[in-house]
Amino acid sequence: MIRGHSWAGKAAVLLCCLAVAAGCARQKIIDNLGIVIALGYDEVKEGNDRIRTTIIAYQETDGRANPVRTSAANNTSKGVRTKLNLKMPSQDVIGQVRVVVYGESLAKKGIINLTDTLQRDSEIGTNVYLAIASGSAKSIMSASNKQDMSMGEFLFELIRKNEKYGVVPSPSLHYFLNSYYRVGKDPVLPFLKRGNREVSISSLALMKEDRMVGKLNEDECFLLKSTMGNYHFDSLELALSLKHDKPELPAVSPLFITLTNIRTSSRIRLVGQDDPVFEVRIRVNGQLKEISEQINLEKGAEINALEREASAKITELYEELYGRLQRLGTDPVGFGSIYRSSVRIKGLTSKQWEEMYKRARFRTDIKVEFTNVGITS
Amino acid sequence: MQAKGLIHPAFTISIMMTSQITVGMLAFQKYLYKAAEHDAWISVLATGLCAHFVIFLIFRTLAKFEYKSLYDIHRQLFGKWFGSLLNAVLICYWILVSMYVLRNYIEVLLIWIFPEIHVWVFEIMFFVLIAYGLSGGIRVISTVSVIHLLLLSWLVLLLYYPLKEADFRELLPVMQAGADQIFGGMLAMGATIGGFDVVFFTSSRMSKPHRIHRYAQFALLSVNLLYLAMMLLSLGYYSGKQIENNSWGTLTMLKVIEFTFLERFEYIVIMMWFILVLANLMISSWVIIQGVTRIVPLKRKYVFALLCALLLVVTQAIRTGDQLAVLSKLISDCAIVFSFAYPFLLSVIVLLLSGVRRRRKGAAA
Amino acid sequence: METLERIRRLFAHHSEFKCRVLDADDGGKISVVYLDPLTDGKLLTEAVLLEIQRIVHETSPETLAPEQLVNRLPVKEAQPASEVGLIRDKLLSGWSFVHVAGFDQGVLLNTASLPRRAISKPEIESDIFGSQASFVEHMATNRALIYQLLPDAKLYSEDIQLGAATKTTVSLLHLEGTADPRTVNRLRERLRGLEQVNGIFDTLKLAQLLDDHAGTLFPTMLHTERPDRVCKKLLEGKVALLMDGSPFAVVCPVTLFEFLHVFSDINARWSIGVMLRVLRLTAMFFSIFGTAFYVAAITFHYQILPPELLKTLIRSHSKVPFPPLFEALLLEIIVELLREAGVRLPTKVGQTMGIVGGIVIGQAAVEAGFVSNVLLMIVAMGALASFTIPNFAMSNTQQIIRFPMIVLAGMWGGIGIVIGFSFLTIHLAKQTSVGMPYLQPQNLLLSRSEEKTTMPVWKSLLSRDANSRRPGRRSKDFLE
Repeated sequence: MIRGHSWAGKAAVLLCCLAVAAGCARQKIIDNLGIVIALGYDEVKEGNDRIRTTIIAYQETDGRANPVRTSAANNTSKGVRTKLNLKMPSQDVIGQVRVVVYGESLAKKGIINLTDTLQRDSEIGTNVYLAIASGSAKSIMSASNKQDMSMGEFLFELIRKNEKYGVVPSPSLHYFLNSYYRVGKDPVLPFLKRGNREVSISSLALMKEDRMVGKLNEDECFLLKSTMGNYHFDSLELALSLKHDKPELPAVSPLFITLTNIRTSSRIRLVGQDDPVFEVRIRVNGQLKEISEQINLEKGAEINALEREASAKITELYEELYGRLQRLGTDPVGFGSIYRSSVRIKGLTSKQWEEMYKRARFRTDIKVEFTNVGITS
Repeated sequence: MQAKGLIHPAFTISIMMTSQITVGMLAFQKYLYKAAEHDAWISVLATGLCAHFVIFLIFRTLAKFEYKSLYDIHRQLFGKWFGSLLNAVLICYWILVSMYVLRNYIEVLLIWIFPEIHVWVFEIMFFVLIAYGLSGGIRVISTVSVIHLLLLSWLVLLLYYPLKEADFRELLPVMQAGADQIFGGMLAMGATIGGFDVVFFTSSRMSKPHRIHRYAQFALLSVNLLYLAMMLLSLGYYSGKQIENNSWGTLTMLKVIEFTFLERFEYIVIMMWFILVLANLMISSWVIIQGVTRIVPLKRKYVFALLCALLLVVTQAIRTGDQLAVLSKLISDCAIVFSFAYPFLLSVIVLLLSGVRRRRKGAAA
Repeated sequence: METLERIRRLFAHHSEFKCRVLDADDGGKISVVYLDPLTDGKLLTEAVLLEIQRIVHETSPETLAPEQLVNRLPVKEAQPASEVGLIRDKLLSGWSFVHVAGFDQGVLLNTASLPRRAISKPEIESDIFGSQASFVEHMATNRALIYQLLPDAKLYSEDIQLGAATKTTVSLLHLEGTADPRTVNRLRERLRGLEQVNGIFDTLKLAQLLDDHAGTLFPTMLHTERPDRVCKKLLEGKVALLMDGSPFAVVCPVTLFEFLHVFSDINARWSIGVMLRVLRLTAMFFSIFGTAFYVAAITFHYQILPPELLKTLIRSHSKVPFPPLFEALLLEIIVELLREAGVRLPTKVGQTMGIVGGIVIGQAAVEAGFVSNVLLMIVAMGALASFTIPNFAMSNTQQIIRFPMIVLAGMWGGIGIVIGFSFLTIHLAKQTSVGMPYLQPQNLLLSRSEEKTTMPVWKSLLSRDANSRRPGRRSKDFLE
């Protein structure tokens, strides 16, 4: 080969020619873009259109990035792009989408086809949050909030905070798809409700495959998430009812206690194969921060008694939850996938699991422990 | 200092690793899962063990021929005409492999980063750089491959993030797949791991050739462990059909990595993969040119120009992802033959021939 | 006599040409010619004129013969001479010529006293630790400094003269037995080839002329003004070139990483030395690619920026009417202008202009909306990072390289940067410094052993012989 550096000059010239001939890549300079951060999908029946897409995008005006909301309807979620382009002066890009909201009616029919576009597009990340709106997605995205944040950002922060420190299990696209494609596990997504100048996560939407079939209220959310793995929660309130049969504790009913700084650990095992029997072992460790009646908690015996009461009560709540999930026919915890990984069975289908789930029984071993009772006794 | 023209045997590590890790690393999970489901990692392990054995055979063969290049071994073993024919077949295989690597990587670029740029623009970028690298000979190529490999080594640390979200219960129960399924997985994996037969050609240029074997085994071990780790991680991170759906498993996995100043690491990984693919193409171009100049007395720069022209023309014919998939399937089958089956066959032939020769000598003595 | 006449005619137009004529007892003339500013007046008077007078008075005329004078006059060097060319050259070097009437030959005496600087602190390589001596323009002094540090009889030096008009002396120093003889031979050959070249006034220019490959941007020989550094390199088996008239010595062969070394890294503790070198390596990387990353991210790859950062960048870029590529090039050119101007400004004006240039222009540019403040910060940091490179030639190279990187980033984004990087890597891999590959990882970080770097890299990094004990490690007796 040619020795020496005459190659360097030739190579450089060639690259220049290449640049001139073929041009550079298409520029996406950030302040000329409309950066979409939230998408909303609703079912509509306007003429030929099936889906209404609402977007919230950042557009640069006057030196700041201002949120702008637009909406258009078409047959597919991406096909609407042309119509949206006709409404917005900036080049909109979806690489930074954070939240996707589905209208309730759409959710009841099944959303997997719509998530397909999120999967297929290489620009969209897999940690976008999915959520279901009570009513229509457009109404949620047009709401205003007390913090005066843009709705897209607000929803993102809301869901993120509750996922990290609260009772919402991860609603990211990856987790949704992971649960959907897993035999024996169903996804669960946050359910948004619009109030007076506020939007909140009112409950969790339970799904069967990809269709919404029910809702959990706030207390049940804690129970569900703590069954799904080891998590850290901010607080939990329990309503106990103390009877006379306990010598250490006075009889009070109802007695409200609040635990904070809670760590839960959960272990689920398959202990019986036919009629699948699951052993669910959960430990709830927290600091007792509030108690609604004056009870003397100086002695260990008293604390233990209170712990036993709390354990009993919470076990009731858990078993109620599992029963309810069985009746709805949805398995967000993933008992089916635990069954599959414990038993040598070829090709377990979701239909088979559905049948078995109806007969499943749960043995619970749930304990509440107070790591401490605060700084007074 | 090494004698003139020879490079240190430790460069085998980087040369082998850059020949093996190409676009396969980004997309291999799908095919393995289709074959062996959640026991795909066993296929990876098995293929790795086979590869170690094959490398051992390769070096035994090389040792018998004083570490000559495979082209020369063919001519010595099979005579001038048949040897040259075999060499020509080898060259065709390597050209196909270069085409595969180049076109697949450009496909990644087209899908993920710059959909609007033409294929040939990317190709010319590569050709210019490869030509520049080749003008320095094997010394420059090996130095470049070391640097590029080192620069990519820290990417392994990024796997910590998907690891956090992985649920390894998906791997249970183990050994649920039948032997035929695992074998199917091995076939899919063979092509991914296949580039290690490059040592056939580079060993002739290294000093202390008896030490190359240990470096080669070390390189192979690293690559195997890497693929095994990737497969296990993917099986835990994704569930079932999710892997099948994902054409680029590794890249999608990297989407979740987030730092305060950077996110969406798959873009960064794709950019850095460029330099790895560049090193790979430089090595395969070098091998091709070595072969062609032994058969036809052309000047090396003309051979390279012909190679570039050939690649340009053929890749223009591949317009859709579908056609690319057909090409890829063809080449992965070839890879298994040339990387695994052929060295095995060759060592058997050599063993037989040396046995015959010994008997003849013994008879003569 | 004839010789003397010719010399006089040669120097007829030189006002400093002096001819001092002394009388001998027998009526003959003794002429002493010299060029006044180049000679040491005291030496001339005492060693030459006085001595000649004494010889004249005490002895017979035969003792004034050139051979006798050579043996008697107490000067450093003396030789008989009659050839006009030689006499002219020596007179121009500060020697004086004594001619006694009646003899064919005269005597050349070394009375040279050329103007020279005192040994001062290093300008460019000043450091906190270590000796503060630096080379001067006078070759003898420089050699003296080196011999002080390395009093080894094996330290061979050869002088080669370059240029018919300038007659610069170049000295090739190497430690016999340690240095690679091939390198020494190569250099010797190349220097011989330069013998006709005039106008080489500095070792840096000499280094370029001795280069393997003419067109490269990267310096292949290390220039230094510290004698201790030269001695360390000589011990490592490298070759040093000194030139009369240049306060820089040039060392070769070198690798890329040695340009990042500061001599006093060795004086600091091992771990701190390694950290500093890593820092410099990172700084080099950042100064070449920093602005290019910014341009690529903002122009093509908005997805890799997290939303908070994205908002900041949008805000900072929104006022600027230009695309980021243009903006970046503009700012880089402004910084280059500032750098160039800063070198040439006299110190009195320098301070004010520095403030004006740096602060006011930068601030005003941002306020006017010409550049974005994030970019300004990145460019400033890049410039700062390039100043951490201890070698000035390398630092200049970096300033130049970043322009193609920025252009590539503006054309093809991240792929452009990667192309530029590959190009750079291949270029560096191909480079050789007097035959030794440029990218050999010797001395990449500090080696713990003091042994020469001609041993394999792995060994030098892992050897545990007596020399490699880190200072400060306690010996057993201390505890007893």
